Amino acid sequence: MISLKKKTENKIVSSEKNQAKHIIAKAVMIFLGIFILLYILSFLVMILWTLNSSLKGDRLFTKEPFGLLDFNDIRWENYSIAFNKLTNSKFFESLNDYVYFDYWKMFLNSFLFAAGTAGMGIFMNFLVAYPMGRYDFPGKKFLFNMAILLMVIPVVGNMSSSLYVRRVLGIYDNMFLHIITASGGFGMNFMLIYGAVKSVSGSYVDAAKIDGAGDFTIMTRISLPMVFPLMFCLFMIGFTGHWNDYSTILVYLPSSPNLAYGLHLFRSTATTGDGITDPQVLAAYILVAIPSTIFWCVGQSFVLENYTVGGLKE
Amino acid sequence: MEEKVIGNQIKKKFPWKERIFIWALLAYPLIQLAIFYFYVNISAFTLAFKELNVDMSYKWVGFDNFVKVWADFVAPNSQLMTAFFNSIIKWLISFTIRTPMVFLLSYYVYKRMPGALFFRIVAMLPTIISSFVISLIFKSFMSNLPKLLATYGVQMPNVMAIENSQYHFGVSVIYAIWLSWNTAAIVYPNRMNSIDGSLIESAQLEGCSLLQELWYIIIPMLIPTFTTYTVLGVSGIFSDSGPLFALWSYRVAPEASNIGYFIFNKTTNTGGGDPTLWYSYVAALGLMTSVISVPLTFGVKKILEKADPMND
Repeated sequence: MISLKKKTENKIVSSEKNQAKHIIAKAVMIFLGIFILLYILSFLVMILWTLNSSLKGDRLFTKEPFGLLDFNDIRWENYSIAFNKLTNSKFFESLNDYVYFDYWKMFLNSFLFAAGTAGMGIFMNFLVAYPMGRYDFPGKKFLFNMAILLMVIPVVGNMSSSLYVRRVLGIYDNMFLHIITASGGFGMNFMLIYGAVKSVSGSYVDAAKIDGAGDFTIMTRISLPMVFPLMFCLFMIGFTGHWNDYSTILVYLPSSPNLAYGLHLFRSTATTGDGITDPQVLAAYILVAIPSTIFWCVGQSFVLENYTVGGLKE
Repeated sequence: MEEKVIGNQIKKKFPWKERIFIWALLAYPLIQLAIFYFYVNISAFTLAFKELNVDMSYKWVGFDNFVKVWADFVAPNSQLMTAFFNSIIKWLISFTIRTPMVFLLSYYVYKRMPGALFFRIVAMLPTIISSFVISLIFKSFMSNLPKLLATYGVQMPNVMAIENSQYHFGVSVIYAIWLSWNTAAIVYPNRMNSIDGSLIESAQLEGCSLLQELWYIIIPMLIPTFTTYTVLGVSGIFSDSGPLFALWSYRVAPEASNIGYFIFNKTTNTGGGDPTLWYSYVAALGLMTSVISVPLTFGVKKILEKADPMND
């Protein structure tokens, strides 16, 4: 029998251990809070520094790169100069001439590429996810396992082959053809939409069938509206990603520079001279960042609440 | 699927209209997959065994390209070997640092602790503003930072300068980790929100501390999502070039390079000659690294799925 004294001692030790655990947990949370504060500051300092420096004259920036700007000499013209300098030219063999891409042309290319690629991608994902999630048919399990394998199998070094195939098919450097051929129906977005289609209650479908609805009507009037919020969320994420994608343009669509690729070319020019000052270069960075920031501000609450990822299983 | 009774058997009848509808939806995606995935990868496979002729046609050369890749790999001061090990080291460092921090940070956000909302917004900045623009801003900032520190008597080299290439690998790893917290800010907290609140409440009633709640309840529920991201990360070890191109364009020092950047550079950089001349070499290199990364990816997937407590 354990004496009363022993029981009390055990209780005190247990209570002290519990207190210690809570104290350690609090200490970890405080550490995380400090880490987050430093992380937020690191971004804010950099972005504020960029904004501050973009409004300086070149001499002041060279002398005091981290000093506050001179409020009596704010160089708003840095932005107009950067806007005009964000121009690229490409030689088109078909025209035997150079074509110039200013900010607005590159903006249009960015919009077409981002909206087209993201939209086509989501559409293709839905085309695959809907029948897979809604019906049971021969070959479904094979396709699903293939979808998982395609996500997991690493493919290294097929860029050269991809370029070769696109040149042979005549798709290379054509934005419209690239958009309709580049987006596959599988991948992470397929898994997410598949899960959403599966979660649509069968009772809605049964009720629609009783009313005489066919497969296409059920898809467009019942399932699609229900999974549309997730699809829009994925579209927003894809749009932002493709808006900022310069490597795909550089590799596959060099004649349709978007803002990100245009900035890459601008940066190359700026480092080799051409009378562009460092504050003007920073102003160009801000000009390229503005459109995507606005798009994100419009759609961000939607994305933040709806984006979640599960496991690689049915 | 309709059921039809024939005698004492129930036969399942698959309506033809439904079947046509299903395969009509799947037709184009499967054609796209066949051409732009399977054909491209089969083409990459065969390209590895070919060489470009002067007349721009390809001729069969057997394993010559693989021999060239291997010779470059084992050569003294091999850039390819450096790139190979840089890819692995970069992933290992990133995984080791990020894994515990991602769980802790996402738990912090889930608990709506002070600053969690700002963290969510800031962590998404590289996605919003463009990681490319962020990298250019980062480069400008870091290039000028030594001047600021010098005024306080602190000597710091310009780690972004081409001549200080010994710092480039470290900078690229730190930079990649610094930009990669969006899963901690968005994905994991959203997943945590789907956990049944009554589980958390009963744990709290039992006197569970925050860390115990995280370890015994939250993390087991996150394993499937963690598995997804880890498996995808492992599969991209040799294809991910990281921020190298954004930070240094085509002037990345060999000691900072990785396989993903090496391939990208050879395939697109016209400054080093005609990129098409490198297609076969790169295809062979890709196949050789795939031989390593495919079993590695499936191995990691198997281990993590075994570790998933939901699979017990």
